[in-house]
Parts: sequence; C-alpha cells; structure tokens
Amino acid sequence: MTRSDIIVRTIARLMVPFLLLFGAYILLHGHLGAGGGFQAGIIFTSALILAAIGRSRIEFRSQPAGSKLWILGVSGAVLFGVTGFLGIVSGGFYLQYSLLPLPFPVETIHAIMITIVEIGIGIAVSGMICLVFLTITGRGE
Amino acid sequence: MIPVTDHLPILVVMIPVITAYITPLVGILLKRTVKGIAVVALSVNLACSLLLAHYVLINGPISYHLSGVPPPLGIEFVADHLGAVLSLLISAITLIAIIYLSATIPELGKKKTSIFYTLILLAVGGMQGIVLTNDLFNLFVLIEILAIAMYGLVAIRGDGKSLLAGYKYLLIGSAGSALILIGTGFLFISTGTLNMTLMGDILPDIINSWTVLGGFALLIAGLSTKIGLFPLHIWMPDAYAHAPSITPVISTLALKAGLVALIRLIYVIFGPSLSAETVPLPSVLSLLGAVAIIICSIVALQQADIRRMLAYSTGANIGCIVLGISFATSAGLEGAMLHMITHTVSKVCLFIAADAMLIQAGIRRIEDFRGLADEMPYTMAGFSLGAISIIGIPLSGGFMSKIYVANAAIGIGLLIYAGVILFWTLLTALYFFRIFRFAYFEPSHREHRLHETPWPSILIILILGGASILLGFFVEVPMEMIRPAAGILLGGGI
Repeated sequence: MTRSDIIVRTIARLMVPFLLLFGAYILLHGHLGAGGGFQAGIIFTSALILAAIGRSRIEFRSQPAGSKLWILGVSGAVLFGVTGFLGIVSGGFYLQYSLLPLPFPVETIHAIMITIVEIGIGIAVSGMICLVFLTITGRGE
Repeated sequence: MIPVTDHLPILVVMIPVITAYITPLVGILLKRTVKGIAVVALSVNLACSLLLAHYVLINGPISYHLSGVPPPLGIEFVADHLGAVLSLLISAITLIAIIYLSATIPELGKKKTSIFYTLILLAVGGMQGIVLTNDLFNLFVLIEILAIAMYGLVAIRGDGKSLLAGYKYLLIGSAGSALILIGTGFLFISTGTLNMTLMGDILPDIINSWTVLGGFALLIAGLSTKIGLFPLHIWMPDAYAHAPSITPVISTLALKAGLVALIRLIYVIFGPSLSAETVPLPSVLSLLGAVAIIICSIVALQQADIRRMLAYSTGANIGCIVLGISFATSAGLEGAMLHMITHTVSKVCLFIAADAMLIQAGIRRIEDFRGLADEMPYTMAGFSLGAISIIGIPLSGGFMSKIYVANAAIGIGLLIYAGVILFWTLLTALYFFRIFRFAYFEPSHREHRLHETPWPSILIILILGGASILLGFFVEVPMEMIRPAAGILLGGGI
C-alpha cells in the first residue's frame, strides 16, 4: 500500500454511510417521484463496492458470499413476482393492489404494496450487481 | 372477479420469468431437480398458450391491463391472433428443445446447469412478452430481457471462441437496443403515448414530421439487428457455430419474436399512415429482403461447417419473411406468418439433428457426412425431412409458405420477387443436396462404425421432421389463426 492510498480509503469510508442512507431514501421515495428499487439497489451496491475499495470492515469476501448473494438476488425477484400474483388472487389484474383485503384505505394499501415490490427489486438488483462485482474481481462463484 | 382465461396473457409471460428466478435457488438447494422444474414450467406454459390460442380463436383478441390501469397510462398486453399463434409456437418448440437438452447438458458441467436453465427460461419469458405486449417501451424492455439472456446463452461455454462470438453479438445487439430506445423516445415525444394502438391513431396527422420519421427509421434499424436482416446478420454464424445445442434453437424463435415486433411496428403503429409517398419503406424492405435471400444463400453454399451453413440459411429465410411483410397485402402477411412457423419447425429440426450428430459422432463439417445415412439412418432421415421443408420441395411445409409469399409478389405485380424466391429455392437445394450426396451416395471414410443416436433424441428429431412435412398437408390448421391475424393487422377486422 502506498501513501496516496490513504485518500482513496478515507473518502471511500466516509461515503459509505451516506450512500446507504441515500439509497434508503431513493427506495422509499420510489412511488412518489424519481427513484425506485432499481436505482436504490444500484446505490446500495455502489456503497458496498466503495467499502470494498476502501478495504473497510464491511468488505465482502470469501466463497460463501457467492451463493448467499444468489439467494438474496433470487428472493428479491421472487418477492416481486409473487406480490404481482396477489393482485390476481384478490380478483383484479396482475400487479393490481386496490382489491387486496387489508384494513386500510386504498392509498395506504398502494403505498405498502409498492414499497414491498420496490424492496424486492432493490434486493434483487443489489444482490446481482454485487455478484457481478465479485465475479469481475475473481472472488465470486 | 375477472375470469381466469383473461389472465392467460400475463401467465404465459410470468410463468417462465418467475421460474427463471427460482431456478438458481433450486440449483443451490436441490441440485437434481433443476431440469424437472424447467420442464414442468414449460409444460404449464404450453398448456396456457394452448388455452390462450383456443380462447382467442373463439372469442377474439384479449386486452389485458397490467395493475388494472387502462391504456393511456397503464401497460397493455394484447393477445391477438398473431400473438397467440406465435406464443403457442414458442412454448411448443422450447418444451421440445428442453426435453432434448436434458439429455445433453452434462457437456457444460454441473456448476453452469442452473444458470443455463435460468437463461433459457428468461429468454422464453422475453419472447412471450414481445409477441403479446402492446406497449412500445415495454417492448423495448422485453427485447432487452431476451437479448441479455441470448448473450449469455451464446457465451456460456466460456471458451475463447464462444466468448468472442458472444462479445460480437453483444456489441451488435447493444447498438440495436440503443437505436430501439432512441426511436421509442422520438415517437413518445411526438405522440405523448407509448401504447401502440393509440400511437397508430395519432400518427397519421403528424406523419410528415422529421422526429416521427427519424424514430421510425431508428426502430427499423434497431429491430433489423435483432432479426438478423441482411447486412446486420453477421453475428449469427459465429453465435450458432460455437454455442451449446439449444442456443440456435432459442435464437431461431427469438428472431421470430423480433419479426413480430417488426410487424407490429409497421402495421399497428405506422399502418394507417404508411403510404408510398411519405415513406418508401415497403420498397426498401422488399429490396433488403431480396438481397438477404440471394447473398445469404450464396454464402451458405461456401460454408464447410454445418451450423454456419444453417445460420446463413436462416438469414435467407428471414429475408423471405421480411419480403412477405413488406408487400402490405394480406396475402403477403399471411405468407410471412406461415413462413415463420414452417421455417421455425424445420430449422429447429435441422439444428437438433445436427447437434445430435455432433454429440454422438463429432460431426461438424459437411465432409463428415460421408456414409452417414448408413450409420445413423434415423437421425439422417429426420435431418432430410427438415431439409426438404427448408428447400421447399413440393407438398412440404416450406413449399406451401414459399408459394404463399411468391403468390403475394405476383398478386401486386412484382414478378421479380417471385423469381428471387424461385432462384433461392434452387440455391437452397444446391447446398442441401451436397449433404444428401455425401450422406446417401458416398461410402464412409471412418475407421470405426458410428452408433445411432439414443432413441429419445431420434424420436424428437423425427417428430419435428414429420411436423415440418405435415404442415404442408395440414396448412389450413395454422392458416385458421393466420388469416384473422392478417385481417386485424391490415385494419379489416376479423
């Protein structure tokens, strides 16, 4: 490690918590304005990649990470798909939430379900992009 | 409560996609069941497609509004006759291919098996979506899903040649996707909607604006890379030659899905406003189609590798389908759609037979076919049936569809294109008869006698070969779906 590395490491570590917070904001803001699960997933992952570059303690490494990330990515996508089918089960169209038998007003049901879908997408994207990063750096699979 | 049959358009798309997501998880937990799950999912998908086709044939097109929001804002799926018949074709062929594949997968190694099936299922979901969606941006997303799965399927072997072929495909395909996205943006800016039918209603008033025409040109160019229309077919031979057996099969279907997108672009979006004065598109497409037919066939004649030869033959057949589409008459459209079906069945038969020969006997080059009819009679018989249909020998399926397209050309007075189709038939006969001569009339030069392919593969090859011939006798079965499809697209109703 050279002395100039310290700049990269310090900046990268400083950025990580803010990026995670920003990711959470983007995720929850998804159904009101610009944002959503995909963007949030990318931001979460960029935080993790920065952490890896900065060699901080939340670095991900080693063999098991690969298959855990697979499970993460897959379950996020399945969460999205299954939530969509709830619409059909409740008697509406695919991805239609207004008919779900929940004790809230329609807007609240929409907000809850869309947030669940966005979380699913965020998990899937984050897991898969992490896997891509691990594979490129030769630490995946 | 909405009847279950109304959900079929989304089920046909989402069943393969969700199974694709589950497959890697299953691959980690229970390694042996991956194939079973893929086969079950595609069987259910085939059942749904059959129901959908039956329902559409009786009750007419289904319109499905995702999340219950109607078209101007929401995403609409439309299962019309064209979508339903292509969806059925895609489900049936992929099911057959995946059953064949479950015998040959060990060549990839255990680790890649679940990823491989994931990519196949994703590609199937993408194709089903492309043929059923009525939303231009959704079409782009589904084309991307299909394309990304295809890049993976081409490169999955991971050796130098297949990675290079996948990279080549990725470069050309990404450029095509970018053009499609920009074109979609242009049309969205001009019309304010992404729904294809609504765009078709708005466009006649503003057809002369450069934005609209530019968007149209970009979309056509982008789709041309996806369907491998003549100058942009160059990714095909490499992608087919070095990929595992299933990739050419899925790709043959993917090209047809792209052609459906092209048909919808020309007839649903631009159909009402398209005329020879504003856009000379029909004549340009006819010319491209004819050039594709001639040049791809001549190049196919020079190939030594069987898969590369079949890839160029596919390029020529795509030219024929584009030729049929470009005539803008119902006869031309019917011919094009029929040729999509006959070409898919026969070409898939040829690819699977060629793959069985490669796996069983290492046959890759055309000289290796010497004496093959003697040693692998059934595989070679299936191959010959498929080849007869691709050549267009009378009474086979390929003959009927070529006749339809040629008739359409004569119907609007463009005799030259009928001549092109005749000349193309001769060229195709030339390069397949070369194989027949080696296989049936020349003795084998091998030291050891080859063994016949295992019987499940033979059965699949013979079923596909028989189907490609029988389509010529029972041409009315697909035509029952195709005629109303052409009627709807040309605005005449069913």
